[in-house]
Amino acid sequence: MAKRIQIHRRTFLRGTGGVALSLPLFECMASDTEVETPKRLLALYVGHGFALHGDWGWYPTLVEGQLRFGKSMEAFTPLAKRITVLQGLEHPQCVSAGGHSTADSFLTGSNPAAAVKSPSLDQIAATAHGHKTRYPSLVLGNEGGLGGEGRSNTLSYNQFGRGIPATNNLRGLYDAMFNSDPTLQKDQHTRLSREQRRVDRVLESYREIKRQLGRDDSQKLEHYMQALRDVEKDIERLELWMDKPKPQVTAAGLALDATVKDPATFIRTMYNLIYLAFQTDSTRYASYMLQSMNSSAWDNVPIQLGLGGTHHILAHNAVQGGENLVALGKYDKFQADLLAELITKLADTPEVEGTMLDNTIVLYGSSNSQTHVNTDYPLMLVGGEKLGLRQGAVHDFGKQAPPLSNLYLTLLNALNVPAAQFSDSSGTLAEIMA
Amino acid sequence: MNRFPGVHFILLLIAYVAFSPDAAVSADKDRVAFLKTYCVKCHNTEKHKGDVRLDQLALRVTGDNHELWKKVVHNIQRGDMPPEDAKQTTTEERREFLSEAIQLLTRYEEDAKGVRDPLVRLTNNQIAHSLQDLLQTHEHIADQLIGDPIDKHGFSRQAELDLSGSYLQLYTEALEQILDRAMPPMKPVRPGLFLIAGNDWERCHWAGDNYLYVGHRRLYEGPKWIGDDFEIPIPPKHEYRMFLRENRSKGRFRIRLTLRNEPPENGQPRTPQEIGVYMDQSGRHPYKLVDPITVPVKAGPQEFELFGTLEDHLGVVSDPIVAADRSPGYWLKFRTLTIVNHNRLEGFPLPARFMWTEPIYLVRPDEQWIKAFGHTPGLIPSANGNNGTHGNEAKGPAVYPEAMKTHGYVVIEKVEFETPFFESWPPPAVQPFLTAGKLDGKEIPGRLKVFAAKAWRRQLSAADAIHVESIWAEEIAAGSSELEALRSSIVTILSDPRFLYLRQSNNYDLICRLSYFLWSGPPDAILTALADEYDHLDDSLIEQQVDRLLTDKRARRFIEDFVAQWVDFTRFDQIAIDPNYYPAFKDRGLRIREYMKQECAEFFAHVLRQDLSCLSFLESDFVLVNETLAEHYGIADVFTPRFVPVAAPAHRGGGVLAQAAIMLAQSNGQDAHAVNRGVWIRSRLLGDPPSDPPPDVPSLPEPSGDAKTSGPVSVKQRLDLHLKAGTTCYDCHKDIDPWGIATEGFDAVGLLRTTIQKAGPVVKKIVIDKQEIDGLLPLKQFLLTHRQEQFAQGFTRHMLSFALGRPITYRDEQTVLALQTEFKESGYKMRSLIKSIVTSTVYRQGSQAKIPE
Repeated sequence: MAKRIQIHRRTFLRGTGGVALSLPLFECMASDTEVETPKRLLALYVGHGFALHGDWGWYPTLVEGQLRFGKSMEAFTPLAKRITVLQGLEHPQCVSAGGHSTADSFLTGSNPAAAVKSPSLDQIAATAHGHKTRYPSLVLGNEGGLGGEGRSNTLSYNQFGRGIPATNNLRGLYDAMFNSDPTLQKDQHTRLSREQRRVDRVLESYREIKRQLGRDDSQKLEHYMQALRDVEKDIERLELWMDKPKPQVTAAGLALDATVKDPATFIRTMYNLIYLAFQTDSTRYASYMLQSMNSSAWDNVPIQLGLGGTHHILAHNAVQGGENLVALGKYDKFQADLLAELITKLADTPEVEGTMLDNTIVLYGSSNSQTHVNTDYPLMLVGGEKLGLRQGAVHDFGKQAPPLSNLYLTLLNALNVPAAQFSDSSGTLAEIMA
Repeated sequence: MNRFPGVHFILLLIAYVAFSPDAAVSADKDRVAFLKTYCVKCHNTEKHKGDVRLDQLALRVTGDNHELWKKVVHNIQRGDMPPEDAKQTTTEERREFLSEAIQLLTRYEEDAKGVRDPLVRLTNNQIAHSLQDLLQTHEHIADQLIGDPIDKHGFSRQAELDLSGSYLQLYTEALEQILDRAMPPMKPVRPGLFLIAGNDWERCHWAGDNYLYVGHRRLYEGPKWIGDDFEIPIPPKHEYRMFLRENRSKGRFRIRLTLRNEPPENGQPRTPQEIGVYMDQSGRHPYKLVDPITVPVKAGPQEFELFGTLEDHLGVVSDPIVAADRSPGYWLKFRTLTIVNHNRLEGFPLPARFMWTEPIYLVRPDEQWIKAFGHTPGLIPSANGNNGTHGNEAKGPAVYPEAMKTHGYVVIEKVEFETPFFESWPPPAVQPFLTAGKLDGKEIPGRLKVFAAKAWRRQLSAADAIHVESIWAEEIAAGSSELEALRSSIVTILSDPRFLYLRQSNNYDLICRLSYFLWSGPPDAILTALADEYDHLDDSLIEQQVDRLLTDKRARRFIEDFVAQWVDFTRFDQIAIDPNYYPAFKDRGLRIREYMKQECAEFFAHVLRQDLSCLSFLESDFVLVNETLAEHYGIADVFTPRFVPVAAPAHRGGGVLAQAAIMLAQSNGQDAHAVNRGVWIRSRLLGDPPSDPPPDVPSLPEPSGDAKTSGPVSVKQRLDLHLKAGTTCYDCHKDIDPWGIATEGFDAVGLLRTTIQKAGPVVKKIVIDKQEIDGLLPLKQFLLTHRQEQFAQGFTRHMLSFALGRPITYRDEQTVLALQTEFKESGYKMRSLIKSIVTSTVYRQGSQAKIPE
């Protein structure tokens, strides 16, 4: 089916003559031949903040050059050398925003009041390298969708600053990346061929108008023609990916029907899908909103876990310390245990150069140090040593901290995205690099 | 009439001098002398210091030497050249040389840009409005497209618009989505209909209490429609709120209300009741106005219908509604419908404003409720006895029964809310394609041709007709259903360059440009018929059409688009009000910001519709405000959600400079920004944008010891410092800052102040043209008396630029002068200016105009 459409189009283009359309070499095909170890990013976010003090404190301490973790983060102990903790960083523009209004700025650094955000870290990287993989990026979230301003359910904003709805559809993700069922393919074929028909028709109009204009050259008409060619290239790209067999992975062990009723299984399945997506080079960038600040179903998860309150309430009460702080710490542990599982798997999977974790930067954190406080974000970086990161350290930037955007600019450069600026960045963070 | 007869003449004279060949020759000589004296000694064939040779620099700026000229100007501007050890220029010589050179550079750049293209792309707004007209929808897709470039001085840049692959993709995607909704599957029952009316507790909650905290919440979830047993009275300054279990974000809706106007119980007569109907996607900012209603004096039930699109009522939160969800604040995720009585309430203190609530009482369940329902189902007693109030308002018995004794009030008999609402079924977008109520594949190609002729704004040629037929035929051949094929064909027709670009050649193009100017949308049948009928549309025909177009409701698009560009709403939208400086805006910011923008448009509409003098933009004895904005400005006795003209308050007066939107846009959200305000006045009001600052402006030397110890410096003191330091900055800033400094008496949100946070007392006294001006009111008087002509010129330039879709260049100066003269003779009537513009040669010729040598 796909073949027929392509032949049809090429014949059409050649046959009508007049306009020389040189079909470009597709960069996506280059990844077949060119050996390039992927440079990856996984950004994870938990709203409302963590329990930062006491036995259950989120921050590790540095004891004789070794990170030592508290009870909530114990699972990371074997990975201590692969982790760096950052203190004192924040988005300065968000400091005076509402206590629960900074989620959409976390990965963008946007002014929370701006109607249009700036693009997020993952999407800037995806714009540069996303064409090399079947999916430029994965935008994931437990709650799913866009959520509201400030209390977004997504971390990702596209190059035009528009929110990208996060998906929480496990089966949909699996199908998109790995399911080669022909009926699924058919819908996409139908869509692409319809788009192609339109491009062909409009190209005819272009020629007609060009003829009418005669010698009155119109640059704009030529640009319109260029735009059509770009659309066509994109259709070609998608068609080629469609013709390229999807990677075969086994669905066994993937709980694709998990829901919030079994939160651990749900998150674990999502992590497994991220792992598979990275391993098969189906994408290189993923953002995952674990806990948004306006969640409904997921806010209740701590109640299900027997911690006595919604995540929101736990975070508020944690300020009182004591048992309340422990309750939040226990939820932090729930998250940390699952994440440590994924990271351990990444660390144990060898690839052409080093392990998957060597080539993957994991960013984990929140935009609240305690609830309603938009300064001194708790932040952790894991892995990415082959990308130039130096791990196993604690960096406390203190009161004179540079903007958090400096970290993101540094990460972009490490991901081989040449950028001179990220949102309100004032430079890079040399401290985190080897 | 003209109090300054000489001004006009002088302006003409300046124009003449600038174009006179003698003057040009003498200026050329001056530049040669300047270069020879100060530059060529080092930059010549032998020495060419820094690899720069100026001995052969041609005096005319051309493509070859453009970069070099820019470098020369830049270095002299910065004072880097001539170097310290070389012979120095006098200030006079330097200014003279720079001003000549910059003028030449500007002209070169304008000419280079001015290569006129026979096609002009529709703006995003024009595309969006065209789709509304062609598809009979109310959706507005402009925000989904890649933003059009914005001119920093408020002139149109339509001529530069272009598009890219991503633009086309986003556009197509938006189109497909619109069509999915506008042309839904033709089932006998409307899909996804959400309708509440009467007993429908699955879908609707009534809020009658403080709903902010767990434990205080009392949501009625009983089995009956509350209005069946409980008449819902809304006395003045009371509101009734409904939470609808529905929060979709797109589609048209209809609200039907049955209301009664009741007299006070003390026997006084009825009074008209000013009601605001508000809708929000969530319960957080529940005051997004759908429409104001006036319930006239009349006994018995009265019906009202209101329409809107959900896109215009998006909340800050849009979560999926979970049926069984009873977590704290779950109702905040519901759509809120709020009915507010705005009338004056006398004899009762208003409740305090709390978070996002207005100072308005909620109608709450009390004795009547208990009587109606006995034991109250779903009712959680309030923990603090705070019974039916907003947050921290006064406790005690309900106010509404008391208020009804002395005030007329409204009774809600019935509320109906329906979405998605279609004016007809099948929907209006499908109607033109139906044959006997059905889609008939044999008939559709013919209908598509009619549609294409409308969309492409021309009669179809034989080839066009075949083209349209083949679009349809291919879709059907590919196996699409008739509805799919129809939608897809429409997308193809609307992606065509014939839709996306205006051409400028004949009568059709003239009427198209006219309708896109004043309606931001395609011409209607009357305009098209005119183009068919006449070979040449004479001035009187066009002027008649201008009157007709401006009376049509589509002219509102012109008003909003023009005002948005002129005032700079883009910038307004980017400025966040800092709640640390303006705590009152923490939760009300969203709402009041919309009203600030609306004030600008309503004022403009008032001047246009009442045919007032445009000098009203400089100063007026009236302002247009609604209740919220009146309260903001401290204007008493406005009790309506409608924008109404009222007397301008004495402390601020009227005109645009008193409008909060302009003050806020030209601030940083914390403090007023005098320099930005100065630039705004120069570029928007006077049509005389100051030139850009040179790159790498050297920073101002730190204030000397005295200044430092005396505390923070005002903008005025900074300007004086520039003067003292003799920096090049002063040359420009002396003509910018004073305008803004005069408005320093008003803060970022447009309120009067005497001190500036962190900067001490307001310094607002300045001198312009040797006249002392102390504050906003004197500034406006000064503009009115001494800058009237310049304002008229500025306004003419902005309107002409908007009409032509391109910036005004030096080549247009003669046209501007002629238009300005007619504008003045008309008593500065906007309607007259618009007519002069559309009958001018430059407008008639469009891009076909020959560029004069």
